[in-house]
Amino acid sequence: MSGEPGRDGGGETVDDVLIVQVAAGNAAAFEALARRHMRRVVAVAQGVVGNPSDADEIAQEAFMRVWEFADRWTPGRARFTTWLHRIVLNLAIDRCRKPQWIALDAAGEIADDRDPPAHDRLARRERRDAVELAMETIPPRQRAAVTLFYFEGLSGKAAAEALGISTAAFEQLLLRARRSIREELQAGGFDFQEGPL
Amino acid sequence: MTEAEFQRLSTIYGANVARWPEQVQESAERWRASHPEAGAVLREAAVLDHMLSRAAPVVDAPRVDALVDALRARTGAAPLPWSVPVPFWRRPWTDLKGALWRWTPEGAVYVGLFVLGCAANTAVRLLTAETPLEAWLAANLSLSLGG
Repeated sequence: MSGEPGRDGGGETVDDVLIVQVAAGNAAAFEALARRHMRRVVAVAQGVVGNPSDADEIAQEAFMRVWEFADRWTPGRARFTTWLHRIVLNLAIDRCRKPQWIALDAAGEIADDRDPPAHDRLARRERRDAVELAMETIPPRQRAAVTLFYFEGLSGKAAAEALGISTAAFEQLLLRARRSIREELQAGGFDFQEGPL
Repeated sequence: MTEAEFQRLSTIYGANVARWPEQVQESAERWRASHPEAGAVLREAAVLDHMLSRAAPVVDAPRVDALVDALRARTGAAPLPWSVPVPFWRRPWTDLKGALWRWTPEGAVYVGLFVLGCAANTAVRLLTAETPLEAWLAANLSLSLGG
């Protein structure tokens, strides 16, 4: 979300105006707010739970909470995106506590003339699957840290705020997460000295 | 900065020093410039960065549209017009201030045009009047009371 809403000052102002209108019961403002942030919300949820259908449910639930509790949000006290991230992360981490974590759906890839040769695609696919499998092995809060910082490009400070923890605690989460993922990949035969390609 | 610290930060934040905490970026860059082994540390971190970037979930536009449509159905409310007023005490000050600045030039133009129009109207009436203005005013604006 740059161009992504919520990262720049203008985005925050738009969010502030929209959320106030949502609190007044404006459904059109709610739809606009949902459209602005839905992609990121789904991506964050999916980064934590891994399952696209669970991520969709979490995203909808998160926005329903925004709709329901918008009047509790005060402009200027915190960024709307921080509040929204916290809702999504709480829902996603709660969902992970239930025993339903499954591997990411293997979406079919349509062959294209512009695509690289089949063996290259296969190798890339294998590496991507390997990272996804490694992500499954780490705790949900570590997945959340990786998702916010690496997938969504938040700064360490913003990601820590979204998780409701200190920057030092966030660094610990990210440190453990990267070490675990790296060890999993090495155990699977990946050589970090050779490089990714 | 020590080698251990540099190594630790690269493990946490990856190979892009610009994404490290601001307060350590300068010392990290200095350490990198003066220690050739920093290159190897960052290259290794970059491999994992690259692999992680490929594993990021992809959310396409049709999926977003479907979710927004589902939300609209769940809220059960027909979209309201954008002009639904928000009480001024709930509006962010920045919004009001922004609106003031935004509409000041247009407002000045409209007021200026109105004043010019009034002046032109008066001038035309004065120049084209067949009777003196006082006589015209007396004829048109006086009330006849009876008789």
